[in-house]
Amino acid sequence: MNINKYPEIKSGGKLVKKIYVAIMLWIVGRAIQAASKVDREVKEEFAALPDDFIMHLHVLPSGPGMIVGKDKNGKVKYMGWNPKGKKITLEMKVKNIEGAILMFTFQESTCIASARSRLAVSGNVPDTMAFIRILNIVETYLLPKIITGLAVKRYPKWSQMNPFRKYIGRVIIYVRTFTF
Amino acid sequence: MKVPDYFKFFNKTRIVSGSKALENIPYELQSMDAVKPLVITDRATVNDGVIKTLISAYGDSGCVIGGVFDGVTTYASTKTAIDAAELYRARGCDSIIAAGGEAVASVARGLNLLVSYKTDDLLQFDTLPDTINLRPFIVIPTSDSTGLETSSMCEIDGRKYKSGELMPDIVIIDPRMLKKREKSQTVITALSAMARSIEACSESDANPLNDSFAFAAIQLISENISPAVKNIRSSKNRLALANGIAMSGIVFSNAPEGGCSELAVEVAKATGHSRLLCSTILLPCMLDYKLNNMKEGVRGELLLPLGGIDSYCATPESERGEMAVQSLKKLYAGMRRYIPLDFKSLIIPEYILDNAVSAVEAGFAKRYGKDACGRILESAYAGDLSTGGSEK
Repeated sequence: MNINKYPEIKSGGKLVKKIYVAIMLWIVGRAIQAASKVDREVKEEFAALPDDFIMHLHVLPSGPGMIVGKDKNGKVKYMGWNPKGKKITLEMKVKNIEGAILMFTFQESTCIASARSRLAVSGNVPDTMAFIRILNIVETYLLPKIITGLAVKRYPKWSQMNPFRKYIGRVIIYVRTFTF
Repeated sequence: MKVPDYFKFFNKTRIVSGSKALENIPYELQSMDAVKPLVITDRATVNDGVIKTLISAYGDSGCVIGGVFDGVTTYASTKTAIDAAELYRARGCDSIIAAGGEAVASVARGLNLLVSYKTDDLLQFDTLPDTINLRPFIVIPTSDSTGLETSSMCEIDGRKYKSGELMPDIVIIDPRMLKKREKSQTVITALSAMARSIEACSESDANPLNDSFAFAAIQLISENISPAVKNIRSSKNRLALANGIAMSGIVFSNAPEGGCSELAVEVAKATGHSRLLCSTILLPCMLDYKLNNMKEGVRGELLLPLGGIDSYCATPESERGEMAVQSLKKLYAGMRRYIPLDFKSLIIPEYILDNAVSAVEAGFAKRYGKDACGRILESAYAGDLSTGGSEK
Protein backbone atom coordinates (compact mmCIF):
# COMPACT_ATOMS: atom_id res chain seq x y z
CA MET A 1 0.00 0.00 0.00
CA ASN A 2 1.25 3.47 -0.88
CA ILE A 3 1.03 5.37 2.40
CA ASN A 4 1.93 8.66 0.69
CA LYS A 5 -1.61 8.61 -0.69
CA TYR A 6 -2.77 9.50 2.82
CA PRO A 7 -0.71 12.50 3.96
CA GLU A 8 -0.47 13.86 7.50
CA ILE A 9 -2.72 16.81 8.19
CA LYS A 10 -1.56 19.61 10.45
CA SER A 11 -4.24 21.59 12.22
CA GLY A 12 -4.67 25.12 10.97
CA GLY A 13 -5.10 28.23 13.09
CA LYS A 14 -8.12 30.39 13.83
CA LEU A 15 -6.31 33.68 14.24
CA VAL A 16 -9.24 36.08 13.84
CA LYS A 17 -11.31 34.21 16.41
CA LYS A 18 -8.36 34.12 18.81
CA ILE A 19 -7.80 37.87 18.46
CA TYR A 20 -11.51 38.54 19.12
CA VAL A 21 -11.54 36.37 22.24
CA ALA A 22 -8.24 37.90 23.44
CA ILE A 23 -9.73 41.43 23.17
CA MET A 24 -12.90 40.37 24.99
CA LEU A 25 -10.90 38.72 27.78
CA TRP A 26 -8.73 41.82 28.15
CA ILE A 27 -11.81 44.04 28.45
CA VAL A 28 -13.56 41.69 30.90
CA GLY A 29 -10.38 41.31 33.00
CA ARG A 30 -9.87 45.06 33.23
CA ALA A 31 -13.58 45.57 33.91
CA ILE A 32 -13.52 43.07 36.80
CA GLN A 33 -10.66 45.05 38.35
CA ALA A 34 -12.62 48.28 37.90
CA ALA A 35 -15.91 46.76 39.16
CA SER A 36 -14.20 45.52 42.34
CA LYS A 37 -13.66 49.18 43.25
CA VAL A 38 -17.05 50.48 42.09
CA ASP A 39 -19.68 47.84 42.88
CA ARG A 40 -20.53 46.81 46.42
CA GLU A 41 -21.67 43.33 45.46
CA VAL A 42 -18.47 42.57 43.53
CA LYS A 43 -16.44 43.88 46.48
CA GLU A 44 -18.29 41.54 48.85
CA GLU A 45 -17.86 38.54 46.54
CA PHE A 46 -14.10 39.15 46.32
CA ALA A 47 -13.88 39.73 50.10
CA ALA A 48 -15.31 36.25 50.67
CA LEU A 49 -12.69 34.65 48.41
CA PRO A 50 -9.34 33.45 49.85
CA ASP A 51 -6.50 36.00 50.13
CA ASP A 52 -4.34 34.11 47.63
CA PHE A 53 -7.15 33.86 45.07
CA ILE A 54 -5.86 33.95 41.50
CA MET A 55 -8.12 32.88 38.67
CA HIS A 56 -6.95 31.89 35.20
CA LEU A 57 -9.64 31.76 32.51
CA HIS A 58 -8.19 30.53 29.23
CA VAL A 59 -8.96 28.73 26.01
CA LEU A 60 -7.39 25.35 25.34
CA PRO A 61 -4.89 24.41 24.06
CA SER A 62 -2.86 27.60 23.67
CA GLY A 63 -4.91 30.54 24.80
CA PRO A 64 -5.86 33.35 24.79
CA GLY A 65 -6.52 33.82 28.49
CA MET A 66 -6.85 36.24 31.35
CA ILE A 67 -5.69 36.20 34.96
CA VAL A 68 -7.53 38.04 37.70
CA GLY A 69 -6.71 37.75 41.36
CA LYS A 70 -5.86 39.42 44.63
CA ASP A 71 -2.43 40.98 45.10
CA LYS A 72 -0.41 41.09 48.36
CA ASN A 73 -2.51 44.01 49.61
CA GLY A 74 -5.76 42.20 48.92
CA LYS A 75 -6.61 44.42 45.95
CA VAL A 76 -8.21 42.84 42.90
CA LYS A 77 -5.96 43.10 39.85
CA TYR A 78 -6.05 42.09 36.24
CA MET A 79 -2.73 40.24 35.92
CA GLY A 80 -2.45 39.82 32.16
CA TRP A 81 -2.57 36.52 30.30
CA ASN A 82 0.66 34.71 31.18
CA PRO A 83 0.33 32.30 34.14
CA LYS A 84 4.11 31.87 34.46
CA GLY A 85 5.26 32.50 38.03
CA LYS A 86 1.73 32.88 39.38
CA LYS A 87 0.14 30.50 41.84
CA ILE A 88 -3.21 29.79 40.21
CA THR A 89 -5.91 28.74 42.67
CA LEU A 90 -8.77 28.49 40.21
CA GLU A 91 -8.33 27.45 36.62
CA MET A 92 -11.25 27.72 34.19
CA LYS A 93 -10.55 26.19 30.81
CA VAL A 94 -12.73 26.64 27.75
CA LYS A 95 -12.21 23.38 25.85
CA ASN A 96 -11.81 24.97 22.42
CA ILE A 97 -11.87 28.29 20.61
CA GLU A 98 -15.32 27.61 19.10
CA GLY A 99 -16.78 27.21 22.59
CA ALA A 100 -15.14 30.51 23.59
CA ILE A 101 -16.60 32.21 20.51
CA LEU A 102 -20.09 30.97 21.43
CA MET A 103 -19.64 32.39 24.92
CA PHE A 104 -18.06 35.69 23.99
CA THR A 105 -20.44 36.42 21.13
CA PHE A 106 -23.21 35.80 23.66
CA GLN A 107 -24.79 32.97 21.69
CA GLU A 108 -24.47 30.89 24.85
CA SER A 109 -24.54 32.11 28.43
CA THR A 110 -21.87 30.98 30.89
CA CYS A 111 -24.42 28.68 32.54
CA ILE A 112 -25.47 27.07 29.26
CA ALA A 113 -21.83 26.69 28.22
CA SER A 114 -21.11 24.91 31.52
CA ALA A 115 -24.17 22.70 31.09
CA ARG A 116 -23.00 21.81 27.59
CA SER A 117 -19.62 20.86 28.99
CA ARG A 118 -17.68 23.54 27.16
CA LEU A 119 -15.82 24.49 30.34
CA ALA A 120 -13.53 22.50 32.58
CA VAL A 121 -12.62 23.77 36.04
CA SER A 122 -9.76 22.92 38.37
CA GLY A 123 -10.28 24.41 41.82
CA ASN A 124 -12.95 24.94 44.44
CA VAL A 125 -16.53 24.84 43.22
CA PRO A 126 -17.74 27.65 45.60
CA ASP A 127 -14.93 29.90 44.28
CA THR A 128 -16.00 29.10 40.74
CA MET A 129 -19.61 29.98 41.51
CA ALA A 130 -18.51 33.24 43.12
CA PHE A 131 -16.47 34.10 40.05
CA ILE A 132 -19.40 33.32 37.73
CA ARG A 133 -21.58 35.68 39.81
CA ILE A 134 -18.92 38.39 39.50
CA LEU A 135 -18.72 37.79 35.77
CA ASN A 136 -22.51 38.16 35.49
CA ILE A 137 -22.49 41.48 37.37
CA VAL A 138 -19.64 42.81 35.22
CA GLU A 139 -21.43 41.78 32.03
CA THR A 140 -24.55 43.57 33.25
CA TYR A 141 -22.49 46.75 33.63
CA LEU A 142 -20.65 46.42 30.33
CA LEU A 143 -23.41 45.39 27.97
CA PRO A 144 -26.85 46.70 27.01
CA LYS A 145 -29.80 44.80 28.50
CA ILE A 146 -30.73 43.04 25.25
CA ILE A 147 -27.28 41.44 24.99
CA THR A 148 -26.80 40.84 28.71
CA GLY A 149 -30.07 38.87 28.68
CA LEU A 150 -28.32 36.35 26.41
CA ALA A 151 -25.12 36.23 28.44
CA VAL A 152 -26.46 35.80 31.98
CA LYS A 153 -28.91 33.34 33.46
CA ARG A 154 -31.18 35.99 34.97
CA TYR A 155 -31.05 39.73 34.33
CA PRO A 156 -31.07 41.56 37.72
CA LYS A 157 -34.40 43.04 38.78
CA TRP A 158 -34.95 46.74 39.56
CA SER A 159 -34.61 45.97 43.29
CA GLN A 160 -31.30 44.18 42.72
CA MET A 161 -29.73 46.81 40.50
CA ASN A 162 -31.54 50.09 40.00
CA PRO A 163 -30.89 52.17 36.86
CA PHE A 164 -29.06 54.87 38.83
CA ARG A 165 -26.53 52.37 40.17
CA LYS A 166 -26.29 50.65 36.79
CA TYR A 167 -25.68 53.72 34.61
CA ILE A 168 -23.35 55.51 37.01
CA GLY A 169 -21.44 52.25 37.59
CA ARG A 170 -21.27 51.60 33.85
CA VAL A 171 -19.68 54.97 33.12
CA ILE A 172 -17.10 54.62 35.91
CA ILE A 173 -16.24 51.02 34.98
CA TYR A 174 -15.80 51.93 31.32
CA VAL A 175 -13.61 54.91 32.18
CA ARG A 176 -11.46 52.85 34.59
CA THR A 177 -11.25 49.90 32.17
CA PHE A 178 -9.83 51.94 29.35
CA THR A 179 -7.77 54.49 31.27
CA PHE A 180 -5.91 53.28 34.37
CA MET B 1 -40.86 -2.73 36.99
CA LYS B 2 -39.57 -6.27 36.58
CA VAL B 3 -36.01 -6.88 37.77
CA PRO B 4 -34.42 -10.17 36.71
CA ASP B 5 -32.67 -12.28 39.36
CA TYR B 6 -29.36 -11.71 37.62
CA PHE B 7 -28.33 -9.29 34.94
CA LYS B 8 -25.31 -7.56 33.47
CA PHE B 9 -25.11 -4.21 31.70
CA PHE B 10 -21.94 -2.81 30.19
CA ASN B 11 -21.46 0.50 28.45
CA LYS B 12 -18.11 2.23 28.17
CA THR B 13 -19.26 4.69 25.52
CA ARG B 14 -19.62 8.39 26.28
CA ILE B 15 -21.93 10.24 23.88
CA VAL B 16 -21.08 13.86 23.08
CA SER B 17 -23.90 15.28 21.00
CA GLY B 18 -24.88 18.67 19.69
CA SER B 19 -23.67 21.82 18.03
CA LYS B 20 -19.86 22.13 17.74
CA ALA B 21 -19.40 18.68 19.29
CA LEU B 22 -16.61 17.92 16.80
CA GLU B 23 -14.44 20.66 18.29
CA ASN B 24 -14.25 18.63 21.52
CA ILE B 25 -12.29 15.81 19.86
CA PRO B 26 -8.76 17.16 20.59
CA TYR B 27 -9.70 17.76 24.25
CA GLU B 28 -11.31 14.32 24.60
CA LEU B 29 -8.32 12.63 22.96
CA GLN B 30 -5.89 14.46 25.21
CA SER B 31 -7.88 13.32 28.24
CA MET B 32 -7.07 9.76 27.05
CA ASP B 33 -3.36 10.63 26.53
CA ALA B 34 -3.66 10.64 22.75
CA VAL B 35 -2.71 13.39 20.33
CA LYS B 36 -2.36 11.86 16.88
CA PRO B 37 -5.40 10.02 15.54
CA LEU B 38 -5.82 8.14 12.29
CA VAL B 39 -9.15 8.90 10.62
CA ILE B 40 -10.87 5.90 9.00
CA THR B 41 -13.61 6.64 6.51
CA ASP B 42 -14.96 5.82 3.05
CA ARG B 43 -15.11 7.68 -0.26
CA ALA B 44 -18.81 8.56 0.10
CA THR B 45 -18.16 10.36 3.39
CA VAL B 46 -15.18 12.21 1.89
CA ASN B 47 -17.28 13.23 -1.13
CA ASP B 48 -19.97 14.58 1.22
CA GLY B 49 -17.42 17.08 2.47
CA VAL B 50 -17.86 16.12 6.11
CA ILE B 51 -14.19 15.11 6.49
CA LYS B 52 -13.28 18.72 5.63
CA THR B 53 -15.56 19.79 8.48
CA LEU B 54 -13.79 17.35 10.80
CA ILE B 55 -10.35 18.66 9.78
CA SER B 56 -11.41 22.29 10.20
CA ALA B 57 -12.79 21.42 13.65
CA TYR B 58 -9.23 20.37 14.48
CA GLY B 59 -8.01 23.89 13.70
CA ASP B 60 -6.15 25.61 16.54
CA SER B 61 -5.81 22.36 18.51
CA GLY B 62 -2.11 22.11 17.72
CA CYS B 63 -2.62 18.40 17.03
CA VAL B 64 -1.75 16.47 13.89
CA ILE B 65 -4.05 14.01 12.13
CA GLY B 66 -1.95 10.99 11.13
CA GLY B 67 -3.88 10.62 7.90
CA VAL B 68 -7.35 10.18 6.46
CA PHE B 69 -7.63 6.56 5.30
CA ASP B 70 -10.59 6.48 2.92
CA GLY B 71 -10.02 3.01 1.49
CA VAL B 72 -13.02 1.39 3.21
CA THR B 73 -15.77 0.07 0.95
CA THR B 74 -19.24 -1.14 1.90
CA TYR B 75 -17.67 -4.50 2.76
CA ALA B 76 -15.29 -4.64 5.73
CA SER B 77 -12.33 -6.83 4.82
CA THR B 78 -9.24 -7.99 6.69
CA LYS B 79 -7.05 -6.58 3.92
CA THR B 80 -8.45 -3.08 4.49
CA ALA B 81 -7.83 -3.37 8.24
CA ILE B 82 -4.23 -4.51 7.62
CA ASP B 83 -3.64 -1.61 5.17
CA ALA B 84 -5.01 0.85 7.73
CA ALA B 85 -2.77 -0.71 10.41
CA GLU B 86 0.26 -0.22 8.15
CA LEU B 87 -0.57 3.45 7.80
CA TYR B 88 -1.24 3.76 11.54
CA ARG B 89 2.18 2.35 12.40
CA ALA B 90 4.04 4.29 9.71
CA ARG B 91 2.63 7.58 10.98
CA GLY B 92 3.07 6.81 14.68
CA CYS B 93 -0.60 7.34 15.48
CA ASP B 94 -1.97 6.70 18.95
CA SER B 95 -5.75 6.72 18.49
CA ILE B 96 -8.48 6.00 15.94
CA ILE B 97 -11.40 8.07 14.69
CA ALA B 98 -14.02 6.27 12.57
CA ALA B 99 -16.27 8.58 10.56
CA GLY B 100 -18.94 6.71 8.63
CA GLY B 101 -21.19 3.70 8.72
CA GLU B 102 -21.03 0.11 9.89
CA ALA B 103 -18.22 -1.04 7.56
CA VAL B 104 -16.01 1.90 8.54
CA ALA B 105 -16.52 1.19 12.24
CA SER B 106 -15.84 -2.53 11.71
CA VAL B 107 -12.54 -1.83 9.90
CA ALA B 108 -11.59 0.65 12.63
CA ARG B 109 -12.24 -2.01 15.29
CA GLY B 110 -10.20 -4.56 13.35
CA LEU B 111 -7.41 -2.00 13.04
CA ASN B 112 -7.60 -1.32 16.78
CA LEU B 113 -7.14 -5.02 17.56
CA LEU B 114 -4.21 -5.29 15.13
CA VAL B 115 -2.32 -2.26 16.39
CA SER B 116 -3.05 -2.85 20.06
CA TYR B 117 -1.72 -6.42 19.89
CA LYS B 118 1.01 -5.61 17.34
CA THR B 119 -0.03 -8.30 14.89
CA ASP B 120 -1.38 -8.67 11.36
CA ASP B 121 -3.50 -11.72 12.09
CA LEU B 122 -7.11 -11.00 12.90
CA LEU B 123 -8.00 -14.68 13.19
CA GLN B 124 -6.28 -14.90 16.58
CA PHE B 125 -9.09 -12.74 17.99
CA ASP B 126 -11.82 -15.30 17.34
CA THR B 127 -12.58 -15.44 21.04
CA LEU B 128 -12.06 -12.16 22.82
CA PRO B 129 -11.95 -11.77 26.59
CA ASP B 130 -14.14 -9.14 28.26
CA THR B 131 -11.16 -7.02 29.26
CA ILE B 132 -8.67 -6.14 26.56
CA ASN B 133 -6.44 -3.12 26.24
CA LEU B 134 -7.24 -1.16 23.12
CA ARG B 135 -6.23 2.25 21.74
CA PRO B 136 -8.57 5.24 22.24
CA PHE B 137 -11.37 4.90 19.73
CA ILE B 138 -13.85 7.58 18.68
CA VAL B 139 -16.83 7.05 16.38
CA ILE B 140 -18.47 9.89 14.47
CA PRO B 141 -21.79 8.70 13.05
CA THR B 142 -22.75 10.06 9.64
CA SER B 143 -25.96 9.67 7.66
CA ASP B 144 -24.78 6.17 6.66
CA SER B 145 -24.73 4.97 10.27
CA THR B 146 -26.90 2.02 11.20
CA GLY B 147 -26.37 2.05 14.96
CA LEU B 148 -24.06 -0.95 15.04
CA GLU B 149 -21.08 1.47 15.11
CA THR B 150 -21.69 1.93 18.83
CA SER B 151 -22.15 -1.77 19.52
CA SER B 152 -19.66 -4.25 20.92
CA MET B 153 -19.60 -6.29 17.75
CA CYS B 154 -17.94 -6.04 14.37
CA GLU B 155 -18.01 -8.19 11.29
CA ILE B 156 -14.90 -8.44 9.15
CA ASP B 157 -14.80 -10.82 6.17
CA GLY B 158 -17.94 -12.48 7.48
CA ARG B 159 -16.37 -13.29 10.87
CA LYS B 160 -17.91 -11.76 13.95
CA TYR B 161 -15.77 -10.32 16.76
CA LYS B 162 -17.51 -9.45 19.99
CA SER B 163 -16.27 -7.86 23.20
CA GLY B 164 -17.47 -5.01 25.39
CA GLU B 165 -14.09 -3.36 24.90
CA LEU B 166 -14.76 -3.04 21.16
CA MET B 167 -17.37 -0.39 21.94
CA PRO B 168 -16.08 3.09 21.12
CA ASP B 169 -14.76 5.21 23.98
CA ILE B 170 -16.60 8.25 22.70
CA VAL B 171 -19.33 8.84 20.12
CA ILE B 172 -19.42 12.36 18.73
CA ILE B 173 -22.77 13.26 17.15
CA ASP B 174 -22.58 16.58 15.35
CA PRO B 175 -25.35 17.86 13.04
CA ARG B 176 -22.71 18.99 10.52
CA MET B 177 -21.75 15.35 9.94
CA LEU B 178 -25.33 14.31 9.16
CA LYS B 179 -25.69 15.22 5.51
CA LYS B 180 -28.95 14.53 3.76
CA ARG B 181 -29.44 11.12 2.24
CA GLU B 182 -32.19 9.40 0.29
CA LYS B 183 -35.33 9.28 2.39
CA SER B 184 -35.58 5.52 2.01
CA GLN B 185 -32.13 5.03 3.50
CA THR B 186 -32.95 7.25 6.48
CA VAL B 187 -36.19 5.32 7.09
CA ILE B 188 -34.54 1.89 6.84
CA THR B 189 -31.69 2.72 9.23
CA ALA B 190 -34.04 4.37 11.73
CA LEU B 191 -36.65 1.60 11.68
CA SER B 192 -34.05 -1.16 11.89
CA ALA B 193 -32.52 0.60 14.91
CA MET B 194 -36.00 0.74 16.39
CA ALA B 195 -36.47 -2.98 15.66
CA ARG B 196 -33.22 -3.69 17.50
CA SER B 197 -34.35 -1.70 20.54
CA ILE B 198 -37.88 -3.12 20.64
CA GLU B 199 -36.51 -6.65 20.36
CA ALA B 200 -34.04 -6.07 23.18
CA CYS B 201 -36.73 -5.04 25.62
CA SER B 202 -39.21 -7.65 24.40
CA GLU B 203 -37.03 -10.54 25.50
CA SER B 204 -37.96 -12.22 28.76
CA ASP B 205 -34.57 -11.48 30.37
CA ALA B 206 -34.62 -7.73 29.62
CA ASN B 207 -33.01 -5.68 32.38
CA PRO B 208 -34.02 -2.22 33.64
CA LEU B 209 -30.78 -0.49 32.60
CA ASN B 210 -30.94 -1.74 29.05
CA ASP B 211 -34.66 -0.93 29.01
CA SER B 212 -33.94 2.71 29.83
CA PHE B 213 -31.60 2.98 26.85
CA ALA B 214 -34.01 1.04 24.62
CA PHE B 215 -37.04 3.16 25.55
CA ALA B 216 -35.07 6.36 24.97
CA ALA B 217 -33.93 5.08 21.56
CA ILE B 218 -37.48 4.05 20.58
CA GLN B 219 -38.92 7.39 21.67
CA LEU B 220 -36.24 9.42 19.87
CA ILE B 221 -36.81 7.47 16.67
CA SER B 222 -40.62 7.36 16.76
CA GLU B 223 -40.91 11.08 17.54
CA ASN B 224 -38.37 12.25 14.98
CA ILE B 225 -38.53 9.90 12.02
CA SER B 226 -41.49 11.60 10.29
CA PRO B 227 -40.24 15.21 10.68
CA ALA B 228 -36.70 14.17 9.73
CA VAL B 229 -37.92 12.52 6.53
CA LYS B 230 -40.44 15.22 5.61
CA ASN B 231 -38.11 18.13 6.23
CA ILE B 232 -34.61 17.18 5.16
CA ARG B 233 -33.24 20.49 6.42
CA SER B 234 -34.35 19.85 9.96
CA SER B 235 -30.99 19.25 11.62
CA LYS B 236 -32.64 19.12 15.05
CA ASN B 237 -34.72 16.07 14.11
CA ARG B 238 -31.82 14.41 12.30
CA LEU B 239 -29.64 14.91 15.37
CA ALA B 240 -32.29 13.35 17.61
CA LEU B 241 -32.64 10.46 15.17
CA ALA B 242 -28.87 9.94 15.13
CA ASN B 243 -28.90 9.83 18.93
CA GLY B 244 -31.63 7.20 18.92
CA ILE B 245 -29.77 5.14 16.32
CA ALA B 246 -26.50 5.38 18.30
CA MET B 247 -28.27 4.28 21.49
CA SER B 248 -29.74 1.26 19.73
CA GLY B 249 -26.18 -0.06 19.26
CA ILE B 250 -25.58 0.06 23.02
CA VAL B 251 -28.91 -1.69 23.59
CA PHE B 252 -28.00 -4.35 21.05
CA SER B 253 -24.69 -5.02 22.83
CA ASN B 254 -26.47 -5.77 26.09
CA ALA B 255 -29.20 -8.06 24.83
CA PRO B 256 -29.20 -11.53 23.31
CA GLU B 257 -29.92 -11.69 19.61
CA GLY B 258 -33.69 -11.63 19.15
CA GLY B 259 -35.73 -13.74 16.79
CA CYS B 260 -36.36 -10.87 14.40
CA SER B 261 -32.62 -10.19 13.82
CA GLU B 262 -31.91 -13.90 13.54
CA LEU B 263 -34.59 -14.38 10.91
CA ALA B 264 -33.60 -11.15 9.13
CA VAL B 265 -30.01 -12.42 8.74
CA GLU B 266 -31.25 -15.66 7.15
CA VAL B 267 -33.71 -13.89 4.85
CA ALA B 268 -30.99 -11.41 3.83
CA LYS B 269 -28.64 -14.31 3.08
CA ALA B 270 -31.26 -16.11 1.01
CA THR B 271 -32.50 -13.08 -0.91
CA GLY B 272 -29.51 -10.77 -1.11
CA HIS B 273 -31.51 -7.86 0.29
CA SER B 274 -30.18 -5.71 3.12
CA ARG B 275 -30.36 -7.18 6.62
CA LEU B 276 -31.66 -3.85 7.88
CA LEU B 277 -34.57 -3.82 5.43
CA CYS B 278 -35.47 -7.42 6.30
CA SER B 279 -35.52 -6.75 10.04
CA THR B 280 -37.61 -3.63 9.41
CA ILE B 281 -40.20 -5.66 7.49
CA LEU B 282 -40.22 -8.50 10.01
CA LEU B 283 -40.61 -6.46 13.22
CA PRO B 284 -44.38 -5.70 13.18
CA CYS B 285 -45.15 -9.28 12.06
CA MET B 286 -43.04 -10.66 14.86
CA LEU B 287 -44.78 -8.46 17.46
CA ASP B 288 -48.17 -9.34 16.00
CA TYR B 289 -47.33 -13.01 16.30
CA LYS B 290 -46.23 -12.60 19.91
CA LEU B 291 -49.33 -10.62 20.76
CA ASN B 292 -51.72 -13.19 19.31
CA ASN B 293 -49.98 -16.45 19.98
CA MET B 294 -47.78 -16.16 23.00
CA LYS B 295 -48.76 -16.11 26.64
CA GLU B 296 -46.49 -13.22 27.65
CA GLY B 297 -47.63 -11.16 24.63
CA VAL B 298 -45.98 -7.76 24.08
CA ARG B 299 -44.77 -5.57 26.96
CA GLY B 300 -47.27 -2.85 27.77
CA GLU B 301 -44.49 -0.40 28.67
CA LEU B 302 -43.60 -0.18 24.99
CA LEU B 303 -46.65 2.01 24.49
CA LEU B 304 -45.00 4.87 26.40
CA PRO B 305 -42.16 5.50 23.93
CA LEU B 306 -44.23 4.47 20.89
CA GLY B 307 -47.56 6.15 21.59
CA GLY B 308 -46.64 8.93 24.00
CA ILE B 309 -47.70 9.70 27.56
CA ASP B 310 -51.32 10.62 26.70
CA SER B 311 -51.98 7.36 24.90
CA TYR B 312 -50.21 5.42 27.68
CA CYS B 313 -52.30 6.96 30.43
CA ALA B 314 -55.58 6.62 28.51
CA THR B 315 -55.08 2.88 27.86
CA PRO B 316 -55.92 0.22 30.48
CA GLU B 317 -52.89 -1.81 31.55
CA SER B 318 -54.13 -5.02 29.96
CA GLU B 319 -54.51 -3.36 26.54
CA ARG B 320 -51.22 -1.48 26.42
CA GLY B 321 -49.32 -4.24 24.61
CA GLU B 322 -51.89 -4.36 21.83
CA MET B 323 -52.01 -0.59 21.63
CA ALA B 324 -48.19 -0.45 21.37
CA VAL B 325 -48.32 -2.74 18.35
CA GLN B 326 -51.07 -0.59 16.83
CA SER B 327 -48.94 2.54 17.35
CA LEU B 328 -46.00 0.86 15.64
CA LYS B 329 -48.19 -0.15 12.71
CA LYS B 330 -49.46 3.42 12.42
CA LEU B 331 -45.87 4.65 12.29
CA TYR B 332 -45.07 2.04 9.63
CA ALA B 333 -48.11 3.01 7.57
CA GLY B 334 -46.71 6.55 7.32
CA MET B 335 -43.41 5.17 6.01
CA ARG B 336 -44.97 2.98 3.32
CA ARG B 337 -44.35 5.59 0.63
CA TYR B 338 -40.59 5.52 1.25
CA ILE B 339 -39.81 1.81 1.65
CA PRO B 340 -41.46 -1.52 0.79
CA LEU B 341 -43.00 -3.06 3.89
CA ASP B 342 -43.52 -6.61 2.63
CA PHE B 343 -41.42 -9.25 0.89
CA LYS B 344 -43.93 -9.58 -1.92
CA SER B 345 -43.17 -6.11 -3.26
CA LEU B 346 -39.45 -6.96 -3.17
CA ILE B 347 -40.34 -9.65 -5.74
CA ILE B 348 -39.00 -12.52 -3.67
CA PRO B 349 -40.37 -15.96 -4.64
CA GLU B 350 -41.92 -17.75 -1.69
CA TYR B 351 -39.68 -20.82 -2.05
CA ILE B 352 -36.61 -18.68 -1.24
CA LEU B 353 -38.21 -17.69 2.04
CA ASP B 354 -38.76 -21.40 2.77
CA ASN B 355 -34.98 -21.84 2.67
CA ALA B 356 -34.60 -19.14 5.31
CA VAL B 357 -37.28 -20.85 7.41
CA SER B 358 -35.41 -24.15 7.43
CA ALA B 359 -32.24 -22.46 8.75
CA VAL B 360 -33.83 -21.05 11.90
CA GLU B 361 -36.94 -23.16 12.35
CA ALA B 362 -35.64 -25.37 15.14
CA GLY B 363 -34.51 -22.45 17.33
CA PHE B 364 -37.73 -20.57 16.67
CA ALA B 365 -39.93 -23.53 17.57
CA LYS B 366 -38.23 -23.72 20.96
CA ARG B 367 -38.63 -20.01 21.72
CA TYR B 368 -41.86 -19.03 20.00
CA GLY B 369 -43.76 -22.26 19.37
CA LYS B 370 -44.32 -24.63 16.48
CA ASP B 371 -44.60 -23.09 12.97
CA ALA B 372 -43.79 -19.63 14.39
CA CYS B 373 -41.12 -18.93 11.82
CA GLY B 374 -43.27 -19.90 8.85
CA ARG B 375 -46.25 -17.88 10.03
CA ILE B 376 -44.19 -14.76 10.70
CA LEU B 377 -42.62 -14.97 7.25
CA GLU B 378 -46.02 -15.62 5.67
CA SER B 379 -47.45 -12.44 7.12
CA ALA B 380 -44.26 -10.51 6.24
CA TYR B 381 -44.65 -11.76 2.67
CA ALA B 382 -48.26 -10.60 2.44
CA GLY B 383 -47.45 -7.38 4.25
CA ASP B 384 -50.91 -6.91 5.65
CA LEU B 385 -50.04 -5.10 8.85
CA SER B 386 -53.57 -5.30 10.15
CA THR B 387 -53.73 -9.10 10.16
CA GLY B 388 -50.08 -10.14 9.99
CA GLY B 389 -49.22 -13.08 12.23
CA SER B 390 -52.68 -13.42 13.72
CA GLU B 391 -53.91 -16.88 14.65
CA LYS B 392 -55.44 -18.91 11.85
